[in-house]
Amino acid sequence: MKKLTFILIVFSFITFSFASSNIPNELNCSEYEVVKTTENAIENSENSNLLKDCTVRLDFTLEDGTTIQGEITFVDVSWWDCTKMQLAAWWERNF
Amino acid sequence: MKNISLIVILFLLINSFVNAQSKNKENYGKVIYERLLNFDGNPKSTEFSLFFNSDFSIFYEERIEPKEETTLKPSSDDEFDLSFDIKFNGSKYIVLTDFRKDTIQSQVSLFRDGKQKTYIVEEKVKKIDWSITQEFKTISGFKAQRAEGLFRGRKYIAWFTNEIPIKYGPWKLNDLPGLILNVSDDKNEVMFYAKSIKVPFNIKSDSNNEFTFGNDYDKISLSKYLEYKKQQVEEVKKLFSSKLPRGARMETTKSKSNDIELKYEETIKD
Repeated sequence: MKKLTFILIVFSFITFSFASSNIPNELNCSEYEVVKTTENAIENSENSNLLKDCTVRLDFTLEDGTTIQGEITFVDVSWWDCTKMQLAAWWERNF
Repeated sequence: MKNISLIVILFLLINSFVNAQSKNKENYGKVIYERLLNFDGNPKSTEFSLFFNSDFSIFYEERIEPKEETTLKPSSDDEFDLSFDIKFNGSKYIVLTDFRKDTIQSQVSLFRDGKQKTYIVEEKVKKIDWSITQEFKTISGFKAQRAEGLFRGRKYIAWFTNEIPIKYGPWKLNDLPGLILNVSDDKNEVMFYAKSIKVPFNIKSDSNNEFTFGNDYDKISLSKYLEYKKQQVEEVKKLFSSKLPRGARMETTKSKSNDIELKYEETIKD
């Protein structure tokens, strides 16, 4: 009986581990997005000399209940410059 | 611990009011309301408390919003997308109504000069010309009566109860013969529901009554606040401009907002 229980536990562990590693479910969605973003970053960095539009989307929620959506497009910037702006904004805790 | 130097503690504030009103303890109470905003099919719920006595009411957010999240979306082929959800951290939305002076002071935060800034917005109480109907229903055991009124661009349908004969309600909606239990606009975008009612209310029985109402925040008029609010996207644009590489330019700025108050009376202008 103990052996059977042990085998069942091991089998379940392997099954669940295998299943979760293949299906990008909601729990590991952010990790998946990070990987995709990194892939895009590598791909984009290869073309970093190309100048493109950099769109910044803003979604404010004010305390009085007002919501404001804004969009700013910076024209002719490189992927790296666009990313630098994002990193600078995050790093300085401006938002 | 910014802006702590001149803190008004609600406990003390209410206590002073209570002491002044000690001969009539029926005149103060606490109501917890849920505010439901449903703009663009995206409902958001927030819990507020309303404290009141015969002269004042204080309507404030129960829980502080969590810190904003910043996300980087994967780039498309044609453009690089950055997306920011901007929420304000560490302050509460408070609406203090002084019925003796007919004034309202609201504590709100905005994005200004590259950072979060909290203001006290001052305005006059806008009297609502309620139309009371003979329609009744029972809400949470109270006999409630229907009233309709226009307030800043929205038509509100309120259910108040004469069983609690006080003129208060959530946010800036007041002046009915009894406490407002439920109120919503005719588009169902703005709704307030009373979840808990304590009248009379023993302030000493509730330990969760302290919050800061920073008197050291800049006081501005309602018209100035609206002006600043319109400039929110521009404020961020200015910030990003300073980070732009040489030669890069900004082409478009789109802005859209959803507000509880849609129209303002002429008298708010400075």
